[in-house]
Amino acid sequence: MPWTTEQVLALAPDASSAKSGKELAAPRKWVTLGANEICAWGTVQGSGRNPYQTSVDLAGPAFKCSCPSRKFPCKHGLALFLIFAQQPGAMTETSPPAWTTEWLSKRAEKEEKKNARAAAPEAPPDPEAAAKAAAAAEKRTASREAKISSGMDELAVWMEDLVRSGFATLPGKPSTFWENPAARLVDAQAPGLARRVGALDGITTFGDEWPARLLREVSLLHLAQEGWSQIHSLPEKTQADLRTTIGFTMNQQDVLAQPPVRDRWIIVGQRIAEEDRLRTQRTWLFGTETRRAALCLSFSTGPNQPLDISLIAGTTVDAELVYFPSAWPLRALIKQRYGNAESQIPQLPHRTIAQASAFAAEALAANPWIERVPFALSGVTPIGRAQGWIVRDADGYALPLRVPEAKAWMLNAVAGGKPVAAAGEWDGEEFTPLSVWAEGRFLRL
Amino acid sequence: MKFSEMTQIALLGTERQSLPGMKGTTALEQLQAQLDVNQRERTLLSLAALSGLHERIGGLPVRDTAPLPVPCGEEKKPRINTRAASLILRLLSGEFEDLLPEFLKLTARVG
Repeated sequence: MPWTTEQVLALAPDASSAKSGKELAAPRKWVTLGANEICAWGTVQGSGRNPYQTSVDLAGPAFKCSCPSRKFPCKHGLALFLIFAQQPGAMTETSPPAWTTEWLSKRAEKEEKKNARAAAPEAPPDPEAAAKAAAAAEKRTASREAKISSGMDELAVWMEDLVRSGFATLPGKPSTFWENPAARLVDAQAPGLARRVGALDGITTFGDEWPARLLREVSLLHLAQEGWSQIHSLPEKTQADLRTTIGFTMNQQDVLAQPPVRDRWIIVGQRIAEEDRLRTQRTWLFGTETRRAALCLSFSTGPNQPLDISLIAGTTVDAELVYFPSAWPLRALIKQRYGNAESQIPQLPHRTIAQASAFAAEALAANPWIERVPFALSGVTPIGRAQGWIVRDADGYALPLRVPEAKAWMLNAVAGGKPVAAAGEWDGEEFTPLSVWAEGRFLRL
Repeated sequence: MKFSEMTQIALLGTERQSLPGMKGTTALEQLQAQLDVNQRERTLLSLAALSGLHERIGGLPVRDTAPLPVPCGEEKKPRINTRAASLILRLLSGEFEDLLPEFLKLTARVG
């Protein structure tokens, strides 16, 4: 299973690590190098007295290095993986050293323990303590729900004012006009709505279409506010979608208790969004058998908290996924993986743009608050038109692209005027391509 | 009522604009007619949620009718190897910028 340079570099925690990793990816800089089917290892002279001992578990992939760097994976891990991907012939040793096998067996042990814990029946609960805990949890929930209700009332008044005085008065309003109601929603413990209100700042600069965009978004906030006032009359799964939209989080253990879906999942694209200090990584998957889409999220609040690197765009993994409850399940957690990731060229599920649009319509019909869905188009041609970049399918349907100019040219260069497979995010108006497959190769945009 | 008409009312403000009476026979129009037009602001937002979703869900993708670009010919030249590729990406991203012309000249000479 060959790994490509792009796939390996995608694992780097930041640009400088990727650069140092590339510089170090020369076999002559390493004292020893080796690999077998399970792992790769090597020693490299660093600034310390003893050479650093670096290992890569190819199944994860996972990294281990004896260097003091706090970055993860460190440049040694990246460089070792790069050499393994680019020059497998340089990995001359064939039996792993003790420090690699010890680390691997520790990893296996941990994994086993985790599985055993998951399989073990829970200890019989102490009924009195359980009742106390349940009462406390109920009290917390009740207090939060009261806070949200009062926050919702304020939001309703703010939205009514917006519509009463008219959107025409909005251009030129200071940022505080949008930040204040957003901050109130944070206080009301509705961070999901707070984010959506805060994101309205600057909407009046979005071309001629801004009043329609604003009305669309505010009407969805109104729908959330109305829905909250009668949440118990809604179908259970719509309640879950509304709670997610408001910003309730779900305990991961509760999610993992749901029935899993096993499939071979194509990882069609990955994107990191930065907001203030929070980095959110969105990884989009498509099941080859189930043809279902899934979204895996990973969050990081600082350089010492690395994003998940186990899902690599362009590869296919055999895994069990568990979906968060929703009327149109999308967000998911990986419960269990089987075997290594494969990197052959996948067959993407959306053969036409009409198919992809129908897929998006189905999502929106089930969950009105859904913000983006993945499109994985198997044959579209990127074209630069006077009004902007588009991709067009064989039937003549087109999607406008939301893409930086440099990336649009890269996409165009790879395609050369011919159809390519492209996957990315659809936000209801524009398509953001994240991945492209052309001439038997995968490229991350 | 169409979403574009609702946008027009929202732009001017319900203070100056009343909502037209709702009637009609389609399923969407009948749903619209169930809303109370006297609560202007809330009703406009409800109408917009209903019609905005209706239009987006029912909307077809746009058609592109302009002529397709002429595909470029098959790539016959050998692809540069991975090491040269990572080198050229580093050069293009601004590192050792002064070496870039020399690198390109040499690459062109060897084909």
